[in-house]
Amino acid sequence: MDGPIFIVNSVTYAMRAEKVLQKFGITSKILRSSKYQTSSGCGYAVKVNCPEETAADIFNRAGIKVVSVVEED
Amino acid sequence: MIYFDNAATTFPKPAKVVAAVNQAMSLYGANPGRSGHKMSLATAEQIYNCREKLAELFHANRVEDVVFTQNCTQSLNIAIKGILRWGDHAIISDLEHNSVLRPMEKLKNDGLITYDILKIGQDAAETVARLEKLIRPNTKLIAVTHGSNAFGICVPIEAISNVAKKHGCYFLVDSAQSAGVLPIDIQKLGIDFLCMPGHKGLYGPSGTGVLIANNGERFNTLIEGGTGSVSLSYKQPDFMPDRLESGTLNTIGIIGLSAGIDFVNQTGLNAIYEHEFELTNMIDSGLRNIPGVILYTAPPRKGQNLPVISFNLSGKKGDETAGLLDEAGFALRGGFHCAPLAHKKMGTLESGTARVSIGAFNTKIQAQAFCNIVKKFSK
Repeated sequence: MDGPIFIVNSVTYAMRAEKVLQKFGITSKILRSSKYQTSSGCGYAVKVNCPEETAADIFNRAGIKVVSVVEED
Repeated sequence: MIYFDNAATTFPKPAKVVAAVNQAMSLYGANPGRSGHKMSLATAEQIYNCREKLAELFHANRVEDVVFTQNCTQSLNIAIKGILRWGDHAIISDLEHNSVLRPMEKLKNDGLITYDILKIGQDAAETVARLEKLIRPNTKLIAVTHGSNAFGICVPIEAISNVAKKHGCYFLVDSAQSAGVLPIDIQKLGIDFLCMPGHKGLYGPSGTGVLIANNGERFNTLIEGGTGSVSLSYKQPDFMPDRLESGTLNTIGIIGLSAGIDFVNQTGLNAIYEHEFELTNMIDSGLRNIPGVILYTAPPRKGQNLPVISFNLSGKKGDETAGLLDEAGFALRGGFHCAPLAHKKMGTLESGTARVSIGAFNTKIQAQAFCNIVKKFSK
């Protein structure tokens, strides 16, 4: 899966992000790695199979707080 | 043994709950929200699914408003001590369980708050009139039970909620006896904090409880610790549910609770209440026709009574009555039910009562057998 990676603070947000995307027919994968840390430490990442703007808009409407967005190396 | 102690905890649990717990022990043994490996994520998904089911059942604003606790008592302590500050005033009802009364009393004795006790009236109008007289400029929280665990009397929470909103007070409902029995829509009823056990009307295992907290981020925390999130921060997270969930969850219990919620949804809330109310009515009628049996409430009315009846055998205390029934194979609770205010209100502080509390798996045959044995003991 190619696509941007959204970093969120907790597994609950990651799970909700995944479910919200599913409703729009967008697949995603939850990742946990030191590559995707927040400045405060552990976070979860959601790799999405859509353009960044699309996912960002969906998350914003759903009230899912995104810490940062990275591209896979 | 015929089990009539469902107000303490429901028994038996549905077969699917037992199966879910067994399956969880094998398949979902990791710690959710800590690691990134497959089993941790799979376990986290199970926990999230349960959160989502609770959010839907009770119409929470957000899934993350659903917080898992050990039991309803812990939920109540988190909410009451989380929202009240020095100088605040609170109001509770005269039917409250010790899990509301004792935290309030502790805060009062520590010199932090004051509180008043609202006498629940014969109807909503009387209750509201009394409540209005108790409101002060510094009233921050109104905390009431949805229904008495000792006497089954329902409290008019919708009317009370309106008063809370009118005066800008937070509104907490202890749904220990009503979650999974009566419909509760947090948004329609204007409930800010809803507390419940997982192991009563939701048919989950013991060791599970839920707090649904609107904007729980503003709570002072009782417990701080590991949340698997923002781990480099010395401070407790300021986002939900992590702010109010430190330490490892009762993962197996929550997965069982999830199956219990499925049971409630598949059976139907209305169907469960209709069944339990029918048996409550049957037992109430049966007991009412036995000379030597003392009842303390009027015949139950649908929507205004929970499936709980307190009674005594003339000349006996509640624990003695329950003891006799235990010897005859009926499981009840006798005594004061952790509800001194309710017993004071109903005039049973000396005797206590025997409490029969009906669940989804009780039957008409059991209800009839119960009445027969009480009749035998009344002679």
